[in-house]
Amino acid sequence: MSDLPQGIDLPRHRDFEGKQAGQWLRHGFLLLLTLFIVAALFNVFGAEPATEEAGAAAATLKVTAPERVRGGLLYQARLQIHANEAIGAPTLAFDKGWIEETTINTVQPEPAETTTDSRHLKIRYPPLPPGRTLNVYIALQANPNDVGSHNADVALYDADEEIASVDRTQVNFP
Amino acid sequence: MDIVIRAAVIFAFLFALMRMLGRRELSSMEPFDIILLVVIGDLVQQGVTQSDYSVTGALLAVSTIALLTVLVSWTSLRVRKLRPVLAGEPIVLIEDGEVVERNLRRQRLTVEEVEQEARLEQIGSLGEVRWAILETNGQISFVEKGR
Repeated sequence: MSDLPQGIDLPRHRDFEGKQAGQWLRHGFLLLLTLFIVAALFNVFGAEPATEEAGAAAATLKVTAPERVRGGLLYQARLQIHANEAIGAPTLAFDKGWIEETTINTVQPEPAETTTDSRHLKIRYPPLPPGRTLNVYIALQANPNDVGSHNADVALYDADEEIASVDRTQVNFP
Repeated sequence: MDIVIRAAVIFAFLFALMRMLGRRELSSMEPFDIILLVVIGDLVQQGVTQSDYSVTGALLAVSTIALLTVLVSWTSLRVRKLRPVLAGEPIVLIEDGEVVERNLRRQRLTVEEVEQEARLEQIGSLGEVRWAILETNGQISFVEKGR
């Protein structure tokens, strides 16, 4: 009679016969974990800010903000308007992706007027003389329930006339 | 609804992680490992409940994890073929006093660690061991020669 402990099958439990797939699965899982971490280091899951710029004869608009954020994350957007010509009513129009399921903590400097329509949040500032630059800082927080890709365009208007527009997409990770 | 999904995702991830890391991590709970466990618990909690501080949210998260735990053990009990995947299998580390080096390497165990475990079982030398088996809970069981 064999003295092998009950429940032990030598080919399987000593020699790993029929368990090669499990070994590969384990290595594959560890590789996946490594790739996940490396991807995070390369900003795949945010939240490094990216800068995009749009220019016209009257003004240039530069937007610096993360394009990928994670739920609950506090982040900042910086918008720079440089007036080449006088702008009577510099207005920034933010697409839905900036507003819906996002908490806007502060906007500095405070705008003279804030309005919304079905798709945009618009903030208007006092007139900007030629050669002047206006920096707008917005502190935001992503709502943890908001997941997916959103339009996060920003347009610069002089009252109702569009001067420049930056097309952006923001991806929210859970 | 989202809290149930988050709890289920975290449960699945932690379950896969524990199954894939190997039993070395389970068998050796050094003080550092205990600290790591607490830290992981804290990190996981933030991911599951996020900004939900409600009792309802906590009940939902705990209930989801409890139900999934029962589901895994029930599946393991009822579906024999899935048992090795869900619960793991024992691994022979020593046969007739001889260390099975390949299996030690697979579990990232050293001979010294096995010797330490043997000493804890009042076994002075691995040569006295007929069988040493790494069990699914991370502990090593020893069967001495002549028993």
